[in-house]
Amino acid sequence: MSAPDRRARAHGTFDAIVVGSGITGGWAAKELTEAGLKVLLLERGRHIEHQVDYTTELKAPWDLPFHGAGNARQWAARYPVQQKNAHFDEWIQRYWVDDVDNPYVQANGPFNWFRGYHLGGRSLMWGRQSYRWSDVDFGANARDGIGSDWPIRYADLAPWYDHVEEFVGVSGQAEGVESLPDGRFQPPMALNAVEAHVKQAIEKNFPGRKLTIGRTANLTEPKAELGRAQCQNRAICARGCSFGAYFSTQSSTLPAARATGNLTLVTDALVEGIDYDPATKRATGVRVLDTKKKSRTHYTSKLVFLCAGSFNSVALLLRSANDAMPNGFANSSGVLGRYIMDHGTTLGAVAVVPGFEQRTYRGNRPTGIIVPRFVNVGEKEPRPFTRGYSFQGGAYRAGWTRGGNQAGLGVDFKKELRGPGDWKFVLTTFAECLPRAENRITLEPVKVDSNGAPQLRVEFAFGENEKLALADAKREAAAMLQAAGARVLFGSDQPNPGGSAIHEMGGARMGRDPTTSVLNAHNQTHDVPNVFVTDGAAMASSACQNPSLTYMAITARAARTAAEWLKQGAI
Amino acid sequence: MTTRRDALRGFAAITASLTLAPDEVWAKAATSKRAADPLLVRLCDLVIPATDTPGAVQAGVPAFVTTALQHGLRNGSPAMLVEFSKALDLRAGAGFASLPAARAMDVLVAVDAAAYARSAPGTPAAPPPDDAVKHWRALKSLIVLGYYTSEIGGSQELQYEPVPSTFEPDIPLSTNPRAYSSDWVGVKFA
Repeated sequence: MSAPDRRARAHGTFDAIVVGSGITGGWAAKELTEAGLKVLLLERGRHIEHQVDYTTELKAPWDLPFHGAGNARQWAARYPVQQKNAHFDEWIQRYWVDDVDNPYVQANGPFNWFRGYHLGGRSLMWGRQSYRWSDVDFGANARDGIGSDWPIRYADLAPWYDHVEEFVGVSGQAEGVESLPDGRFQPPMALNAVEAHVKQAIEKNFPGRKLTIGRTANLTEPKAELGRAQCQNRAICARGCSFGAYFSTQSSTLPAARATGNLTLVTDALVEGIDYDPATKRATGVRVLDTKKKSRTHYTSKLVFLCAGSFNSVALLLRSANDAMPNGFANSSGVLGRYIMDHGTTLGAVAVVPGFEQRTYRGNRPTGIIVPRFVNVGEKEPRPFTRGYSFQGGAYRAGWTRGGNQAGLGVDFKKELRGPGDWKFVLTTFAECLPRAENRITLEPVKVDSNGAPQLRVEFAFGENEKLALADAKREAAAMLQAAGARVLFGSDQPNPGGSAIHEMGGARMGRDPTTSVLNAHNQTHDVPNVFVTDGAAMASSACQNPSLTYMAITARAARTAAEWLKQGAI
Repeated sequence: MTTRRDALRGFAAITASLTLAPDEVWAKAATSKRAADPLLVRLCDLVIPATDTPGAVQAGVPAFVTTALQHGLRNGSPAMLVEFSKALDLRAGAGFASLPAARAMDVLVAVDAAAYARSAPGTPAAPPPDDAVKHWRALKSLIVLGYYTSEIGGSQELQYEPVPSTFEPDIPLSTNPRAYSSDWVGVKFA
């Protein structure tokens, strides 16, 4: 257990403070402690200890009061937003925030802000898809002039992608696709019969396109040094995995950081503001609310790393405004809070695939497939929109839930539901979201949450470019599945509400120009040299693949750089 | 002296304890042996009867559906069951729960067919559905949910394999296949 961690050194002094313990906070803590720094890791939510606190992990549906379907009345009352998340269920509802205690304002249409406040954050519940971005992505803003040019390119991040992949353990297949660079993979998981068939049909009928197994942070080979076993093909990862088979703060970065002896972890510690010394123009530490005891304290440090999750890191900068920085901490550019993004997602196609009725599979593979971006890259056919989209999904046999959607009663009905149903194939579209100034987050002037912190106000809408991309994707998804002999049942080109991809990012974007960006090429704020932001807030564009692996790479790179500069006395 | 404020405070404390731990409250209620609603028993038996494995009644699905309706699953409510029952009795010309089994099946088959019928485009509009047809999909899907997530339905009728260890990507279907209730993707996106 963590008693030694929790014994906070009140008013303690550290080399570095890391705010947030999710995917990036865990990485910052690991890299900074391994560089020899004394690190304080602050987590606003409760402690969740690896294995010990995964209390629903082994429960069967019949062990739960509502058999996994959840108490709809309770969900409507306490989780009106969080329950819209497809991953929300009775096993893991406790990992998502209570919407009543954690309100925010959806200023122009729905924005689903799905999040969890506890040790490990969303690293416990994440989708684990781990993709490199390419220069198709890092060069995108410069190429079409939308957004600020990224101050880094693939070559800057490539060694850090290597570094994080080797530690995380990412299984996948090298494919040589320009828009989705290969990594240091563990052996790939296998395609099922229908996925292998659809892959063949796509690659034969659409030269240049690929279908490959999802690259996922689930181990196919054990990592004994951290006590992590290989994946057991349960696909119940988000409950917490006692095998440590997927990457989370708990399974991976936290034990590594603890092993250095340099880590102090404090949970139930909400950072209310960053302290600033106008004389030195440096941050001096943070002010913290103990959310259990409702008492306040502060900690001092030489470095501050914000890893609170994109929107919460921006919120912290906004509420850390001071006399010298009245518009928000490190906001001389005025763009803090602007250019937020989330992928435009929708169900591009779902189809029935005939001809494989006598084939099936056994076990629950915890990943699907990906069709990497092929539009506006490689293929020469011009599209009426800029940037691109990719598909994720896979094939499976319909389960017993189909019984609620079809006629039938009695013995024959029961017999029909005993076997597996039709083979279905799903392609979900992920469209790149352009960075736009009018998509922004600000602080509410009056409304506060249960901790007394100003509520966040989210103004977000998808634009014409995303809608054109989703319409194109709907046509292409149907065409590819039809080429495989599938019968398309449904397809959509309407984006789910913003936030639905749970890839909300931007708000403190990186850039070359301090007058149009918040962070430089090393995630250091242009204005305050000892403050770094390394979570999704830093993103200057969204690409069309999952961002977490890139967050990890930029975090590791920024942490090692900051530690080096600190030792040199440069900051 | 008990003031109105005190009374309200007491009430608030009770409801607070309910809203704080509804799962625990239900868990206690579920273990109490209440007489199952005879209509739900009949419906469960008609939808998923006992065969070579126990059916929905033996799996305790009537009590599950009662609880599910009380807590709003599938947008249901106890009132929904009352409305459904009245409409069903009208169709049956008598109390549905006491009809002979074969006759009850005939009545329910008609309701089931109407509830899942999709009128082809261009055809004249079907007569407005009665409360039996209107509520049947929700009730039936709760019976299906209750059964296949029970230990009987999930691990005797179907197979439950919490730790598959390996993934076998392509295997032949057996001659008498039993699907996995633990195929979470297949279950979620059927």
